[in-house]
Amino acid sequence: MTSRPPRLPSFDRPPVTEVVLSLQFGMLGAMTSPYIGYLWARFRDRYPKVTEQLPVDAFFETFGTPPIAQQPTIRFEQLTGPPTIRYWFESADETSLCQVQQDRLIHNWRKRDSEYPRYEAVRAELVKDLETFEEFLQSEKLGALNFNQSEISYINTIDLPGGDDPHGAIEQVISTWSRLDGVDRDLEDVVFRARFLMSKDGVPNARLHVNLTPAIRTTTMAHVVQLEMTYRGKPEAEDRASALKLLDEGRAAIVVAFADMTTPEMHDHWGRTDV
Amino acid sequence: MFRDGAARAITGDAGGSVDFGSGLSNFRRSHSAAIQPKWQASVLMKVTELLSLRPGWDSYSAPVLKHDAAMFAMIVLQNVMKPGTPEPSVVPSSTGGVQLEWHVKDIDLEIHVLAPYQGEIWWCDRATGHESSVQLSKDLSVLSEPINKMSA
Repeated sequence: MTSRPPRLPSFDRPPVTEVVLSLQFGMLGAMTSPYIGYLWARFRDRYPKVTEQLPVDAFFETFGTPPIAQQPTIRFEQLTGPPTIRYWFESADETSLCQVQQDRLIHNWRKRDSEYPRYEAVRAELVKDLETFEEFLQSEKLGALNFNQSEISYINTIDLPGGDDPHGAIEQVISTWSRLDGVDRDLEDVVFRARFLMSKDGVPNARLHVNLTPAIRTTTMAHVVQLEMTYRGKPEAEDRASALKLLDEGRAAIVVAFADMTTPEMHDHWGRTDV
Repeated sequence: MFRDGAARAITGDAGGSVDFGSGLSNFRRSHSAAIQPKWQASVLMKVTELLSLRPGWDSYSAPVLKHDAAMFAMIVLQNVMKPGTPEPSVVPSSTGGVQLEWHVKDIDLEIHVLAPYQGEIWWCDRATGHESSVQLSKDLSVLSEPINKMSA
């Protein structure tokens, strides 16, 4: 397992409810549905549940042009042949999820009753998935993985200390937000989206997407805000080490940005330990 | 046809909360579809036709066009096309990629997409004799000059 880099912001009780590590690769057209049973046979000890889902669209970050509102996402294979499938392989407690489709392998950690095991542990699970998947591809002669995009997402579900409603009080969560309400004008809720170009040696190499939305926690019906942070880019090379390295860089970028964007009061609430 | 690049689309409602923003996302998608430029539907149709070509479509041993190459070609266009940019010709290449071509206003521009981030960009300004050829990569800034000249 990799070790935590020094000097990263750290919290005893981070509000993270889901972490998604996704590796996208050149399409494995030969990996059709009949083969998936052989893959599940290899996964079944760790993931006893399997379900079928619609595939996630391919996504490619590019740079050097004005930002576009949204990237086109088209699943050409749906237009030219039978629908392809994304398979969910879930652990018995539903905390771990491995997702496989013709051009992606994704590992999710989802908060259920367990505490966040930290990035290094989630990454180690992804590596296990990857090793099993590569053994399967090799055994069935279905092709090799040429990684073209790495993506890491943190989904934070944030409530305020004391149970106050955060929907109209984003300034208590986000450090740069100012109160917008005034006399006879109360802010009810806020949605915002921000994108950041991430550069290495002065050259853009990834993008950080930040989305904040009001939400309701389904278990308690309490008002919360959801802060999603996604870092995505093209690995320096198509090999596994490069793909994982970009995830590590993304994790560091997200943790730093999360600490920069949120208030010291919330840091106290989450038990910040590095300051 | 369009979506936000958020993890939620990957996992569904796994975080145990209901997102008020999804209605906004749906609206955004509908709105985007309603205002999409004409070239998108036309190029999408041509690219989809190319994807149905069989191996050896050129009477030799040309491979089929790969889906991810087709997708990346659409992304390149989405990033560089301007309101006044003419629609490109879309032709298959004998190496399994797709070529986007313009020959207008003294500009010849060819973008050969072999795979995501792989291929070549070549362009020539016949008025000045300037010619340029670079590898296709994640940096699309090299396309600004010929696209601007064609779109003027």
